[in-house]
Amino acid sequence: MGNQKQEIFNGVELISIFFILLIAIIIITAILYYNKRRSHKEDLASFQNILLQTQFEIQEQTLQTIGTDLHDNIGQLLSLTSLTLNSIELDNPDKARQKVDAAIELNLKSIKEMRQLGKLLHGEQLLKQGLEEAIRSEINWIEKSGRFAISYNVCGEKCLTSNADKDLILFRIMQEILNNIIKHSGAGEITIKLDYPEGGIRLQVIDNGEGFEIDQLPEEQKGMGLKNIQKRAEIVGGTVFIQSQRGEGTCIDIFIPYP
Amino acid sequence: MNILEIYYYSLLTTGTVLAFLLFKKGKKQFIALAILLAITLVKELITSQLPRENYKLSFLITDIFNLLEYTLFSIYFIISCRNIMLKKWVKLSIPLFIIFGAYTSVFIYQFREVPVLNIDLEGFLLLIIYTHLLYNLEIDDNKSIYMHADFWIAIGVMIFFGGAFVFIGLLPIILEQDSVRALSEYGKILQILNYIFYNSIIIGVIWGIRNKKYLMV
Repeated sequence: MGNQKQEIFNGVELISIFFILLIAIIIITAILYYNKRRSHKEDLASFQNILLQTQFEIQEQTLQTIGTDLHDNIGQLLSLTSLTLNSIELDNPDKARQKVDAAIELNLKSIKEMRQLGKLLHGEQLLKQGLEEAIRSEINWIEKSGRFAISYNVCGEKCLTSNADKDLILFRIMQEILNNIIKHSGAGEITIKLDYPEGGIRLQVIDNGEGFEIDQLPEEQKGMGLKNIQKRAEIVGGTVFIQSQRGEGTCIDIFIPYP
Repeated sequence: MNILEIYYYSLLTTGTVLAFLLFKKGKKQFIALAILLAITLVKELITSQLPRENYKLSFLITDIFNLLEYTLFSIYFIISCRNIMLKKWVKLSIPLFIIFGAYTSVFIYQFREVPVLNIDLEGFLLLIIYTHLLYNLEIDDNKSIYMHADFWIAIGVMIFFGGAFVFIGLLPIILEQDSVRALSEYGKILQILNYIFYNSIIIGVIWGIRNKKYLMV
């Protein structure tokens, strides 16, 4: 009888404990749910931040290109026009005619350059024409310096639907890589490949510059360039693979799930 | 009065004052909590002073208290919740619960025993509506869930009523076996759950006041 009583009490206690555990599980699940929701919103906010920053950087890069071009190219052309016009001697009509023609030609060239520059000013439109074209425009500007031989290949079939955010980020990554090549690599040849494997988009930038030992790069050098590239690719679920050795150039391979 | 009793009454007094302060600061639902905590304090003080022979009066107080407790917790939920449909159901449940509770108290238990059915039905209903409240908190994403008053109120209600649910439901069975031991264990379990419950409510009210302060600044 005593044992049976004990068993009943034990049973009631056991069921009570089980029920309390159930309540605890419900509460813990709620906490996990809210924490997950919060971290998801934080990720989203961080993505929006990076996107905004990327847009800003692309605009800044465009303005820099415009500034350089105004100074180095159009500025020079207009100075030359001015010089040519100033040197006209009216008492020598044949020579004056030649100089006026030369000035007209220089002026037309300036107008052409200005028009190209005007297109670039519409920074947002750079990507509206598509990632492939935006990359091509960027290459055109770099090629104008005459320092680099750039080959650009597009393979595979482009996705029917595009993703403007991912295009923007990939484009900025490419700008960052090209900036690094221009500033640090000492390369003369650059190969850019844009590929559309299934479910993604792959960008490969290869240069024949000095290369570097990734592990030996000081933290501050990794900071702006490589870390930014890595961070941006990760935020859109992508991966970055960097292959480089001293004296053997660099290959940066980025894969981003697409669209 | 022993130290635990003093602590228990202090919890109830502090909770009442803080909930009233929060109501004054504009959080309407906390008036329900302030009234409930004040009633609980008065009820506990009266029942602790009643002689054993007066058990009928003690059960009458407990029965009336259950009805008030469900009503006030439901009012708190109705003001806090944003789901209109659920609000309507909870509003409807108040008179139904009062009718049911009054009927069982008068005709079934007749103020001679613990109103197990009433307490368990109350616990079951509050467990459901406060689980809903817990999963539908209006959370500011810059703040942790622990800084939300309703989070603490909801878990306090869930732990108290969920924890007591099975034991109270099975109380008649163990009372038949050994009434002295059953009542002693019932008292112990309720005491522990009460401490968790009122501490949780006070934490919730304190967060409510703190959050309100930040909003006003």
